[in-house]
Amino acid sequence: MPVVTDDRRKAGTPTGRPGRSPWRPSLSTRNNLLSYMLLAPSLAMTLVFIAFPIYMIVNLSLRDGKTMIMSEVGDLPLTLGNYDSVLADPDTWHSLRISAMYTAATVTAAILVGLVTALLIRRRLPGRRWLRTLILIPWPIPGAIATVAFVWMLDGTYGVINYILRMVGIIDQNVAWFFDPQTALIGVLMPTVWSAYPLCTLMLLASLQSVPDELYEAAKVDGAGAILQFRHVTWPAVQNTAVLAMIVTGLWTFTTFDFVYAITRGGPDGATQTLAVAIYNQAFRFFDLPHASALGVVTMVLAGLVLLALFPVVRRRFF
Amino acid sequence: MLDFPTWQANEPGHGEALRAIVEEFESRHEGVTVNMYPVSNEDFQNQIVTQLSAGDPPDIIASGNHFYAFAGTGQLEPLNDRLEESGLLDEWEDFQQERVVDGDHLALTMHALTRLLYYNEEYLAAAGLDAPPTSPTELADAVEALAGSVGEGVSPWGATTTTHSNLFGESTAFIVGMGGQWITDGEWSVTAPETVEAVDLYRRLAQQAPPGLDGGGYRQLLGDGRIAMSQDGNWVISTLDEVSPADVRPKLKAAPPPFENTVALVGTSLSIPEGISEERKDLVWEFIQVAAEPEFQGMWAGSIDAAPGRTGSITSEQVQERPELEVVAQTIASAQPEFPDSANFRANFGEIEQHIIDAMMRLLTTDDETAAVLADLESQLSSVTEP
Repeated sequence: MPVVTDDRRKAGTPTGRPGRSPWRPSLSTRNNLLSYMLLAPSLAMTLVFIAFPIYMIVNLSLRDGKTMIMSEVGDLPLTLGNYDSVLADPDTWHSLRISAMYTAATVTAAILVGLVTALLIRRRLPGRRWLRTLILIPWPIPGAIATVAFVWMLDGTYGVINYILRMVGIIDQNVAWFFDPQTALIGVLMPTVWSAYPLCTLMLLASLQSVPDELYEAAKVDGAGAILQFRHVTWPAVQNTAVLAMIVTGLWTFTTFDFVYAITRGGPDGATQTLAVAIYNQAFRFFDLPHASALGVVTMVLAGLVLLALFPVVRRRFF
Repeated sequence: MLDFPTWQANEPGHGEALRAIVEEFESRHEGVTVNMYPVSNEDFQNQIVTQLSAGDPPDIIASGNHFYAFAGTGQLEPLNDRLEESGLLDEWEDFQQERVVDGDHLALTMHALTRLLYYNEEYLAAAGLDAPPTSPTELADAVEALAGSVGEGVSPWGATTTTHSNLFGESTAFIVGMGGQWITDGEWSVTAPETVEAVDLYRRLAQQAPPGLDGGGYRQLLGDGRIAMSQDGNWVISTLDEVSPADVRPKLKAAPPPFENTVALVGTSLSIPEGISEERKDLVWEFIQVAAEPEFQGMWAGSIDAAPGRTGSITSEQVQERPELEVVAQTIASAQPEFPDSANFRANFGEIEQHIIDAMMRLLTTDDETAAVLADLESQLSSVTEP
């Protein structure tokens, strides 16, 4: 019996099957076609909602002149001057430093709080279900609402945080959190961490629940205390998830705008001016869209570089 | 339906006056409604600039300090012909000139506001002061005396002490008040001796104010009797009526600012956008004409103690009922414009304002020399634009 090869099919050689058109695509071709057809809606959405805005931002960043009218963008001459001015502007590097500090502090605090809360609600405590709901409540609260609540709590005149800190003797006089450049970033960090930690809790809790109780019992039998149990049982079980949570939270924080702008608008004297706030100011306060776009592209590239640097770590742990 | 977004829709005083105009317009135009809705002041400028630039503006454009950003889009219809035909310009106060760009009247001003000195007469008496200060030196001495006499929980002075656009207006009131401006004779005058002296006084007083508060915050404290003195807009009189307890309100008084010059702030202005149909433009103009009628112009005096755009709109009954109106009228009569006479300053106001706000916050939060901070500011402003 002759063997039907792909070469024969390609050459239009009859395969011996009755009624098969020589122009009919092969099964694998049809499968590929179907795959592309099924992917088409997603690809179209990606092009419209991701690729096109990125194209517009890059296009705007290469234009010389100010305009808010999109139909006029094409009339502006091309230039690399916006990148020159962005990279030469000390404000860009200042904003990058603030963004890096803000992101690092938020990620660290969110992971710590998330880990503590995940360990807490993993225990078989009375009212555990209620506690779980309570701990996750900050997650769906809109940033603007959280901001209003924290602005009241941190108010320098009548805020409850100052009251508590005075009561326990940590401070003698009220701290004007958002007035002093030394404390403004801390003030902005508090609502950001409050909003970020529930995702970390959820992710770490999922990992913790996959650790069998027998491991802890065995560790106890071997004489391990709470710290050794955490070091040799808990941490190895959650560290991969913790890395993922750090990356997700880090990317979210790096581009977070609402908390900072609503509370301090980047002040006092630029003490909380992250890259996101700087981009907003350039675009919607100074109406300089090309400069804002160049700053946006630089931010995107920086975030991409950080992700690339982290990629070997992620690959080692997850793939 | 005519769309009318405004940041003042829910503001005490402003909102009521605007609603009365809307109701009157609707009653005269059967089948036409005005959809007046609030947009926060922080978002208002961005939203309207974006809509104007996109060619899809709301029908009625209101503006305050946002005016120059709106005018910068080139999408506001000149009102010259309509104003001339209606004869309104002959009956309008001089501050209408603040809405003229390259000879085009791009908006009609509804009213002008000014700043007043507010004080709690009980605290002044306790500090041994018989009357409010009438000069910058007296003001500095008064605040020093108050600092020594007011009890715990009361501040001698109130001012904006957080990153906020008020910092521009509050510092400018001192500069203009003491004979300076940001730009004089076509040059930046940020480091001129009179500017440095004015900003230094502004700084010394603001450092006595409760930290971290915006306008709403320190006005509330003034109303509560926890601030002894402040300089603020004349519209605050009606705010104090609302927020101040009955035992404190009678002690709160207003006086002209203790400066050589006072500042006139052009208040709400109304414009017609280019990007709407001719029929809609005519309707918006009719709306503006209703707002320009003496009855509604008089409402600005009654509701926010402002000086109406239309000359002679304040009745003697209103003055009798509200003695502060006389102080307002007296102050505005000799007022100087808040903005320097510079097209570049207006066109780049967003960026200039941001640098000034940052410099004022630096003055309030560091020990840096005033002259050094202002020298840095002048260098930043020079890099933004020619004066």
